[in-house]
Amino acid sequence: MSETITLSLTVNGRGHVLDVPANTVLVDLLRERLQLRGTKPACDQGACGACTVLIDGVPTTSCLTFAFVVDGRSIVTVEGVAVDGLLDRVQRAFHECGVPQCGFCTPGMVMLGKALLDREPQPDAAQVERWLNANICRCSGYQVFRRAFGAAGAGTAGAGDPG
Amino acid sequence: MTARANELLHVGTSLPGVDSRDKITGAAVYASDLVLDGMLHAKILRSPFAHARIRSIDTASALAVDGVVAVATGADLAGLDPYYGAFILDQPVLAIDKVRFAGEPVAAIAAIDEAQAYRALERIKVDYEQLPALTTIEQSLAEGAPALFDRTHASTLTAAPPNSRFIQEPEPNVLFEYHYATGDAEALLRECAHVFEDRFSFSRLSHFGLEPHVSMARAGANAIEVWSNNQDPFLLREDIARIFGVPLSSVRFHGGLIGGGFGAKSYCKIEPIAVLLARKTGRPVRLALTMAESMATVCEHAAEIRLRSGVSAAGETIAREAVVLLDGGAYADASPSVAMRIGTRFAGPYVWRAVKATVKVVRTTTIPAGSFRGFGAGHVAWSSESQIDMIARRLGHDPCAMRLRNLAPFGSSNVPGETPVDSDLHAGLRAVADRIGYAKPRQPGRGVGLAVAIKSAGAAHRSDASVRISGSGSVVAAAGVSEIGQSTRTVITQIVAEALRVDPACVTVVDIDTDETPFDSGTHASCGLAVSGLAVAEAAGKARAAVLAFAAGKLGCLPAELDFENFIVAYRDARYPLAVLLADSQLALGTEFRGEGSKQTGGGALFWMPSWTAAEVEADAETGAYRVLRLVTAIDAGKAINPQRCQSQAEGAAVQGLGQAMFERLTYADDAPLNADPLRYRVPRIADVPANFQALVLEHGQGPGPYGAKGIGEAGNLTIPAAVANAIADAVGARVTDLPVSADKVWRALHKA
Amino acid sequence: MATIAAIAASRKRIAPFRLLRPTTVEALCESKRQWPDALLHAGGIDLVSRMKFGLAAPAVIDLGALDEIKGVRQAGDIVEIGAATTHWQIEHDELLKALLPAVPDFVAGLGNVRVRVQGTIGGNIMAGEPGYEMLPLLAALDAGLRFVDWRNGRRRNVPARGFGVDATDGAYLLAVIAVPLSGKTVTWDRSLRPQLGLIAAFDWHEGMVVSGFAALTGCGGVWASLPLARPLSRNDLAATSGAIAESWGELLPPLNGPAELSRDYCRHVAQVMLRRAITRMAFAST
Repeated sequence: MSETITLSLTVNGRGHVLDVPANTVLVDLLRERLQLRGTKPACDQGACGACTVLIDGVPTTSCLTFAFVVDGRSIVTVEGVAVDGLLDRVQRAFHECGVPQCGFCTPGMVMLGKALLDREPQPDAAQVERWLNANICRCSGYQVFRRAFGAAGAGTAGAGDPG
Repeated sequence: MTARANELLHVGTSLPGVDSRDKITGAAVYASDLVLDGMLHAKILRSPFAHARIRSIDTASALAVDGVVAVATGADLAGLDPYYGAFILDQPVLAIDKVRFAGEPVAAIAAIDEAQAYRALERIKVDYEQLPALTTIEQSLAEGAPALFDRTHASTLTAAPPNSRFIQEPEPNVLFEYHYATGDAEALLRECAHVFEDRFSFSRLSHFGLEPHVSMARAGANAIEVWSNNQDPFLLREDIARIFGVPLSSVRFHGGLIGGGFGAKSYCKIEPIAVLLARKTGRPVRLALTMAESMATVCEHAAEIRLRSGVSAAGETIAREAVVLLDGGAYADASPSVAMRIGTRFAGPYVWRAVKATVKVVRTTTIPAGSFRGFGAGHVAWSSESQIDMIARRLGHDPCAMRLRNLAPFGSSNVPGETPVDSDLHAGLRAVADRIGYAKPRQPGRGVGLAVAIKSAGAAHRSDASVRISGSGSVVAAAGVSEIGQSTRTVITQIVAEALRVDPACVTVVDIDTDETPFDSGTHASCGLAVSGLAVAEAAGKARAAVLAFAAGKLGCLPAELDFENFIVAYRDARYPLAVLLADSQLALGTEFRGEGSKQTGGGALFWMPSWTAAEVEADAETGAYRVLRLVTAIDAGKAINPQRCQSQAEGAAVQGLGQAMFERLTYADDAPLNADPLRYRVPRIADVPANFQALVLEHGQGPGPYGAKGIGEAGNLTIPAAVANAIADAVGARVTDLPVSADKVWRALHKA
Repeated sequence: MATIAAIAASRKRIAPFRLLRPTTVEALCESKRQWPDALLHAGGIDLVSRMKFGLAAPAVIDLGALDEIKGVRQAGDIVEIGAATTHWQIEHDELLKALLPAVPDFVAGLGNVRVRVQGTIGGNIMAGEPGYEMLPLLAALDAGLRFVDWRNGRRRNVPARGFGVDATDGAYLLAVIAVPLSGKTVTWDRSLRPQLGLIAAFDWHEGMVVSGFAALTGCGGVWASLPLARPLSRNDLAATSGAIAESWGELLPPLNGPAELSRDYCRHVAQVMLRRAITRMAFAST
């Protein structure tokens, strides 16, 4: 018995009407049904946030979200952030500050960062920390993210004396 | 247009990562993203018991589940060479007759999708006869403890390093025993003014790379093709060929971007299971672990370390004896090599007259311990740097002064017979101590701690590389080192662009295909830049020479009279685009000029990787809670090919060390792990990292790599735990010798005396 | 052997189900009567997680369209918070900021951004996880939990201070959280999170503290009133903070904190945190 539901949703600006099993998890809808593999399921327990996407602008853990929740809503994934190939503000900052190392956390961080900047265009260090504390990066040690958001205080790249 | 001949254009610049745009836009493809037409999906049934005999496995009901194509068990390994292990081959592809840790793979299903595979897993009936679990070293070595194995195993171990000997599987439940000695430690310890004996424990850790282990396999009549995020492609190829009894040349491995390695993806892991099912079903098979499964596949050794160190009245380090018990888990993985490395490292960065070490790897019914960033250097740094501090305080010496007094001078061999130290250890310590303001008076409740460590790197490694220049204005570089986030592709691009004087955007570093990519011993031991980088530089030089030889022939001159930049050959005042020279020779635009390079290192250290840390903490004596206020860590990159990437690499390593210092630990209760999953195993988040944190990328210029570069991948994490523990001792006088340094341990240390 | 379960947990294991989406509480009860084993989906954080571990049911009832149990409103001297209100909504609610500022302040530090936009106050309470913070907060505020018996539509009120998840025997749906406007001052200590935390609330009358309550987070439902013999002035409060904290500690049941912390350490730290909270409260301006 596989109960199917019909979803109408917008993904990265494109409308879709899809029949899916009710037990479809959003991250799989995106990756397997819509072939948008930029969103990364990493921990599959909601701890790491690598799977973060925006639902109506809200940063959402797509491995913990059933697809039925997005009926009638608008989703943006990492593939939909750059416009006509032009990186958006968060992406440019990440690129210039050398953010991606292994890169697996990066899509989730881009979405989380975009959600932050959409609400707080000039976040202070505390706000950056509060928001980014949602996601895990195992490679970078997070200072690159602080630098990317311009929120690094003392201890910025080469400048400043921790003393 | 041209820069001066000796000015570097690309090396030494912070070129953005060549894969950065793809990673930021979601275009980057990882092994876990790959899809093959018609592929089946595999899932693994794992033992719920730590130790049990398998009486029988009934797969009939599982096979009857809709969409299930095949089930494999240990029985399917008949006729194969079913064991693997980097040095001692004791780990079966699937459990054979017995399971030895909770989580061990017992059976595997291939089905049309993962949902059906999981459904079928539940229908497999395994009849286990439980045996006593041996969860701790103590239990394993206890009188009457059951033996985990009833035989010894084949091994690839060769001669022991100088000054040492080893015994493979000397007694039941002991995998490996290693003895190292230089000088006569016993005799010297008897004469020392002061001898201190202290014990330390090091916690079991999880690598916690975000991309779990994923492998795909396709098997034809005579060929096996594997895609995986394994970081040692050529080693894996050998294992697959041997296990399945096919020639090496009929095994082909494809490797691309890897979502985090840290050693978890070294050596053979789950790939043989995918191959087994691919052969059985005749279809491609994708085996993707969850992160929790990855955490149950391999971990970092827990250890008990006893250090007996003798010093003179003035605090000069004289002799040291170390006894280490490593918890190797159920199977060998990289443990023998880790044990040997630990055994040779107890001089640390100091000068001793004698060092003696005994390391035993004990088998327990727990997650196999293997390769982990630092490869044992972290164990040594934790214990040694904590003890140096303790000794200094007991004798009333300043811990910084005591270190400066005993640090191995630049150019000396503090390990007899080893490569001389090629970093200025004193300068590095002074740099971090100055930055943190070590000499300033302490505020109440605050303390500063220091730590220094060195790790040998680059030994016994072979890296080959090729570079191809085409008249169309592109360069392709191929090397067998995997991109695990250490920016190897970016650095290779910079080295090639520098050698050929072309725009880095013209250079492509291709994915690994063992049919085409030159050989590499594996992405570990921080060899990527120092060893592979040299091979790449050589290959680029030879490709350039090939271009010049061709051009010289065309122009009727000597190659030495020519220059080559931006794909244009310069001869006196004339400029000849390579494309034009080719057209004139009736050669195609895509004609390639190829150079090959190779670097093979010997048994000793190719270079030393130092790590220096100064930490300031604020501790609450009433609760034991503490905060790391400021952190300064330094590494020596030799020459920073890409300063920005060196810095973030150093920071990332340091934060991994911070996690280890403060809260990371894989714990067991009875026979199963309590927190081997992403929700329960705590790793650092941004709020755990002090904003006041700086990684100094020093450049002592003595590296063996291109332009004097060294690897730094395993440095930053080494000294953080000891620096934090030393800072807490400085702040409130509480000494914790047991990782992680948690609030309750600090509190206990304060209140037990 | 919780971790062995984790090794086998995956979103690919989530069994198929029929989806039901009632828009009223009445319809919700009717759905539950029709499908007694149906699981409730509020934010989904805990439900999806448990289903990855193998929890299954023939039907899932999504509360997403149930406006009746969402939102914040005032009813006299009580503020009613719908059980399906997300933490994010609570954090940003203007009414709460005006009438019960401690609530949005506290919730702003709960979990992380992703948890707060998705998780609901009802889900947090009903999950029964020892580390979850809403129930201890509500116990400190002496809130009431209003349930609906889906078998017959009857209402049942349970004080947060008396609530254990098993108490509702699965036949009750949490609909509304009722927080009294009693002018309590609230303080908390999250310095040892995620392992342990403390929330303390104090009732004032004419400049004196007449009663107090402190709850621990991380230990699962551990709390007690402060043993005050009489109303205390600020000075008396500060002077006796240690004694109060110690006596309170003795009232607590054995603390089953995180496995790696001993009971005596947990108790000691709980008392230190409470003593400091009392001192903070004594010197705080009104």
